[in-house]
Amino acid sequence: MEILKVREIIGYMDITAVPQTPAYVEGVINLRGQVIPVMDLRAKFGMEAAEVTGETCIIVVEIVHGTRKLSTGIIVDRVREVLDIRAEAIEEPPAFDAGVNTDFILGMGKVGDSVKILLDIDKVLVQEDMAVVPHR
Amino acid sequence: MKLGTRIVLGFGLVIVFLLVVGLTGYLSMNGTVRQMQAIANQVEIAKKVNNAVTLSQEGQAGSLRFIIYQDDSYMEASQQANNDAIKEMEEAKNLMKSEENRRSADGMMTGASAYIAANTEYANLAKDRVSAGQVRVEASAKVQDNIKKLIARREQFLQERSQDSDKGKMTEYDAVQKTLMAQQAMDAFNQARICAQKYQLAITPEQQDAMAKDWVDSIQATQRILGQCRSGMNDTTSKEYVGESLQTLADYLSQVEVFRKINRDERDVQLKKQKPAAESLMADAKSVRDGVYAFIDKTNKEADAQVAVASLMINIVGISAVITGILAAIVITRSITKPINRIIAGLTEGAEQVASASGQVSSASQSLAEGATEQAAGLEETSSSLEEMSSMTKQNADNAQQANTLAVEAKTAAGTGTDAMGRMSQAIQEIQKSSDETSKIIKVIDEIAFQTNLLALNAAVEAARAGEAGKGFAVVAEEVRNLAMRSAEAAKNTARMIEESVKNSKNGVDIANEVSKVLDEIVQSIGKTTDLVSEIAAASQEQAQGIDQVNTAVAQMDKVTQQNAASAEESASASEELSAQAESMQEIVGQLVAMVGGADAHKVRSTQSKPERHHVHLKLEHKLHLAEKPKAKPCGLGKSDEVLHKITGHSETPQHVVAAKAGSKAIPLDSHEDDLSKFNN
Repeated sequence: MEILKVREIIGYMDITAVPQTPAYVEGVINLRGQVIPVMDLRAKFGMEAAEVTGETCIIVVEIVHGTRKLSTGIIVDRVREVLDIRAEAIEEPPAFDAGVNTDFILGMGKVGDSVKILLDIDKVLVQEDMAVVPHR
Repeated sequence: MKLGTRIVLGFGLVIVFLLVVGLTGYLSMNGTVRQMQAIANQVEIAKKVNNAVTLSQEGQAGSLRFIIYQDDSYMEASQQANNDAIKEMEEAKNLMKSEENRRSADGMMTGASAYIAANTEYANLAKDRVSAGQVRVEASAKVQDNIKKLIARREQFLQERSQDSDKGKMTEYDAVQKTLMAQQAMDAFNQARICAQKYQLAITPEQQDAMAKDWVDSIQATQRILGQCRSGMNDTTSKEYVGESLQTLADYLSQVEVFRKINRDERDVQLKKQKPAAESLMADAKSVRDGVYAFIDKTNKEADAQVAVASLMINIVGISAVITGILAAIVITRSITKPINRIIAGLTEGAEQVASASGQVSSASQSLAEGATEQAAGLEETSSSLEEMSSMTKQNADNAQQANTLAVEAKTAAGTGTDAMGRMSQAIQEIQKSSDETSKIIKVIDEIAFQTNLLALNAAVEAARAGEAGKGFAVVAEEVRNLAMRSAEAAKNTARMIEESVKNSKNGVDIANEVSKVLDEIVQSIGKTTDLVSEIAAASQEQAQGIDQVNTAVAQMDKVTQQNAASAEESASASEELSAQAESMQEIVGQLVAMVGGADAHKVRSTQSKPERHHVHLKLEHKLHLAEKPKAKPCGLGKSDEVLHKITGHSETPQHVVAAKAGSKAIPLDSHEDDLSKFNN
């Protein structure tokens, strides 16, 4: 995702669960006085839940929704690095089946031999019903 | 139930049946006899009634004869007969049972009495008639005399008048006429007398009345004639005589009236009393007779019915008594003979078994004797073996002692080893502890590296956000990240190395534990060995003792063997006695069989041949002594003696059993043979 949308990367900390929230919303955290909701990306994408390890981090992203700025935390398994990917190296996402939703893919970044999926974090955080539609 | 009771019961049943049948017969007989008596009674009544009827008829006949012949004896006879008839009927009535018949009898007797009364009346009237007739006849005679006198006078007068023939002619005609009249009067009177006879001879009342009329007419004619004669009569004497004649004639007439009255009364009595009385008497008598006959018939029928019932009863009772008697006889006889047969079978079986048992006993005694011989030989071997065993035991005890000592030493050494092991374990554990601590520190370093990494990433983000201005910062951030990564790497390596060292120390600890365990096991084994060795020592001790006991026992066994031989001979003779007893028992059973029934004799099997007489000649002439005593000291008597006593006891049992229960199966021969086989082994 675009780096500019990233506000901060913090280590895993205790999350206060909030009832009556969707399953992928883990809860809220207190980040230096600010209450930020945290969601589990795995749950959001309908993937299996993973254990919390020593490398699990929370990435605090800031998205613009309409006129508001929303700060949301997303739980990730690991933060590897910050990459510079040139615009030429970014490709459009390939077309899978018609029923597959590819809205949330910003593009495919070529880094060396491997391909990294670039998430469109706005779409990820705003599409409420993403976890409901089965992916895979 | 006892045998005697059953037999008595059987006979009792027979007597009961007899009594029942006899009673039934007696009752039936009684009934029949009563009926016959009733019939006889009725017959008696009938006879009497018949007699009465006959006598009544006789009476009737007599009175009829009397009416005809006017003989008093007939009337007497008739009255007698009637009276007898009444008597007979009275007697019959006394015997009668039927009310109807009694009433009929009474009626008859009343009728007879009436008849008798009528007869008496008639007889009296007859007497009166006779006497009246006599008087009348006298009167008639008087009249005749008077008229005759008159006639005679008239004749005389005529004679007198004829003498005077010159006086006159007129009076002679009158005189003659008067004389003729007198004659006519006589004639008329004779006519009357004829009428009298006719009257008396008349049979029917009509005839009688007609004759009576004639009679009276004749008399009246005579009176008229005499009257005419008297009127105008001159002769006073004649007149006198006519007057007398008229008087006597009147007298005669009155007598005739009297006679006629009596005759009429007689007729009345005969017609109105006698005849009806006679007829009703006959009718009554006959009705009584019929009634009696009817009663007899009825009684006869009743008697027949009763006889039929009685005979049926007797038949039924008799037949059922016979059937029941037969059944009872069969049941009782069965119940007697069945148990007896069973007993016989049992006794026979028992005798056979005793015979076979005695055979077994004698063979057992033989084998016992043989066993005793073998036993003696065995004993010799046993004693020599015991010697060897004793020396071996001694050696064992010494060796055990040595082993004991060695074991103790080993134990101590093992103990030292265990201590050293303990110390080693301790040292290794300390190594482990310090490794753990080092590991902790490494973890902290790792943590720091991670956080540094995060910071570097955040810095990179801010640098990216800063854009151009942040490029230098991005480089710094990058370097920081590199550093973080290096430190993380180092920490990882160190952690790895520490892990290895931990693993090694763990290994060492494990090995130390293993060794410790092994040493423990050694110690345990040593302990066990020590225990075992001490047990061996104790056992050897006991063994030595046991051997001594066995020695003593063998000596005793020798004694017992000799006793056994003697007992074998005794039991052989006992078995002979036993077979003899069995024979005698079989004979007795044969007697019992003969008593119960000859056919049953076949059931008893022929007495078995006498069992072979085993004279157990003991070959145990050599004395059974043990050569040397074993080294071990003899201890007190142990279990072996108990066994010996038991064996002795068993040998003596057969004799007692034979004496007490000849023929019973309680001879424990099987267990005896077992003991012998034990001995032989």
